[in-house]
Amino acid sequence: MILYVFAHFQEASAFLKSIPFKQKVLPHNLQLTYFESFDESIESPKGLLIIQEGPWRAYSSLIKFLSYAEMQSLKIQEIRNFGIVGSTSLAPQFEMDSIHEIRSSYCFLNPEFPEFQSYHSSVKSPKMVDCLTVFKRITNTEEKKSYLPFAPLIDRELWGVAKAAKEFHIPWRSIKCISDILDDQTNCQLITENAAHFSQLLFDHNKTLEINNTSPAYKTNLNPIPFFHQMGFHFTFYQQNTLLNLLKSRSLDSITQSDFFHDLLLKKNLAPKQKTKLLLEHLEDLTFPEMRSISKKIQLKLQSFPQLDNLQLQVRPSDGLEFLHGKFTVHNLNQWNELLLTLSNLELHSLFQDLDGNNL
Amino acid sequence: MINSIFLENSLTNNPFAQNILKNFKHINPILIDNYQDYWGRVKKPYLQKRDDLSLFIAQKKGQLVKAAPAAYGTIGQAHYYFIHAYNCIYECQYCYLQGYFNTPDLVLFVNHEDIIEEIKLTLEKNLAIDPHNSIWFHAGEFSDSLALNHLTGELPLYFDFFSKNPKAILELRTKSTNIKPILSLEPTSNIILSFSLSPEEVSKSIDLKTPSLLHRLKAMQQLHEKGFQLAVHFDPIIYSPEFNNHYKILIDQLSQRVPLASLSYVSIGVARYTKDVYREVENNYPDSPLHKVPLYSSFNGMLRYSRPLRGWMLGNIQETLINNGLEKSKIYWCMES
Repeated sequence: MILYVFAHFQEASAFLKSIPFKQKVLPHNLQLTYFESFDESIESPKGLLIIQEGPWRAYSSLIKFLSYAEMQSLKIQEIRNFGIVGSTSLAPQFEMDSIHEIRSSYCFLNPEFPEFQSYHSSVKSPKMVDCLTVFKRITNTEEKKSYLPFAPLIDRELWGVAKAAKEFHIPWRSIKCISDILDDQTNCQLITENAAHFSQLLFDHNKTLEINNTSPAYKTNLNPIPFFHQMGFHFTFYQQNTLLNLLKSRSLDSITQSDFFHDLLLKKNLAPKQKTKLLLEHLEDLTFPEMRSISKKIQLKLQSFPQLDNLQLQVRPSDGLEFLHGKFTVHNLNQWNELLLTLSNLELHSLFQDLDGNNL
Repeated sequence: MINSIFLENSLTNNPFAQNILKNFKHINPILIDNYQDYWGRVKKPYLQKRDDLSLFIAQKKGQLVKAAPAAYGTIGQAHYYFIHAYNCIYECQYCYLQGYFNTPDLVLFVNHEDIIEEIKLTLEKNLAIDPHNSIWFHAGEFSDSLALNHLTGELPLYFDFFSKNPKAILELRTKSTNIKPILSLEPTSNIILSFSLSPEEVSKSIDLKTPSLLHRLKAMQQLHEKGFQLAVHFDPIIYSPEFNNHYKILIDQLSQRVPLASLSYVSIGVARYTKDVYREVENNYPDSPLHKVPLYSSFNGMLRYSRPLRGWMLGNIQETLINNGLEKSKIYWCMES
């Protein structure tokens, strides 16, 4: 479903008139106005939510709705915000009634400084422009102008919409219609009277939009990690990244159809973490055999020092063979002296030659 | 690419600022009090630089010359860098600027007299401790040092200062072939133009929007023939199964244009990233060849190739350089322990 989001009912009027939406009564405590359309004549199911103006009000309304939708297993593919904006620029492209798709959303939650966090549309096109969500209605021309260094458009809700969308990992896009230009003193009454006109312009533009197939929601379907989870592997975050990087130089099929992979699946006695470790080692063997061979060589060299075992001194190389980790327990001065003597007599030259890549 | 210009109020009569603005007659600059009120105050996507950049013309305040990190330059000498700009017009996939600043917008600092004054003070302070040592001043830490110099026009000022102070060495780091403004200046032995080079195959895929290897080599040849001191950075070196052969070809191509023995130094360094930068690199360039070799947390917390691989790669390149006539003392391993 695509969820259309508006701050005000009037901005949505053309959509409600042209698409067969039916109001759906949500639980009373949500205090939201929501419409749905599953009509077969339209391309895909649509929802339409009124979130009110103000960044925090917009955010909390949308968060409430998305939480509710998640509980109802309602899958939202994309959030599409429509609304009116003011212009902070005198550039000719920002004329009255012009329609703009938003690239990045910025915000001033107070008059002093901008919020560092910004949000970015799932659509990419060089024609898009930025929008700044402001904490109050800005009607004064000089004040509007002061926001130009951040964005040529100002609105009252997008940042809240985008923040909520990001938290639910839903791609968003936003289409705005200019309702007041820079050299005008904003007349809120006039804008309200013209709301149906702006809504029609937004609706007409929306007809030209296609679902953005490169949005993150589609990308997640290509993530192979859930597949490996299903197959009984367990990944730490670091291991997930390692796997994804190793997969860049070979196809997933070439791994899952290999004998090694089938043998690994048949090893029922292996814990999920052990399976993952073996899988990654195998892929590293294939991707960079020299590295694996030097790692094995260093392991063997460390095992060739029986003195270390006698002292219960455990030495192992770090990941990446950057350094050696040592672990020991000392109970008295004699043991300490014995440890120092043993360590000083170890012939480590060749081992460090390996670590420095001199024997690769 | 540059769609808007912000100019600090105090700089409206600054000749360097006016020089820059002359090149953007179609853009009306927006006057601001201080670039820091706007630049980097909100997180802007790095790749926005492809089609929309803002340019801030500003005055650099605070510390203008800073001590360089360890293993930054040749051993045994003091190294400093000075900041003439933030951000770069090129788009190198490994560039640390993408995770360092919160915005790709450019800042050009135009108070060059102040920067030179601080270089002078730093030089005097160092020479008071050891009058025999040379002090390095590197440009290009946060921006390519030549790419925009046809707009900024500050190089004659720096050349003038350094030619009168032979104990101070100026290094201009670049990937640019924008050498025309330099060719009109007088070469001096303490001003070194250092070029970052990668094998052609690698450069094509990861040094986006930069001049080609061939053009960089041609620029180096021209500068060498005019008597300028040159240096080379093979940095970052990226692993591929053909890596050794690629660098042999690159060193051969270089030595055909510029005799290796004439180079002031060659710095070699393997790809490395802070975790923040690597996150940005993965995000911005998910299909880059940079990700094909596993990275590990290294001696200083940066992500790097495994230690044996790094040592092996650097050792191989060093050997090829020596075999082609470069003295070992002129090679340094950049940012390695």
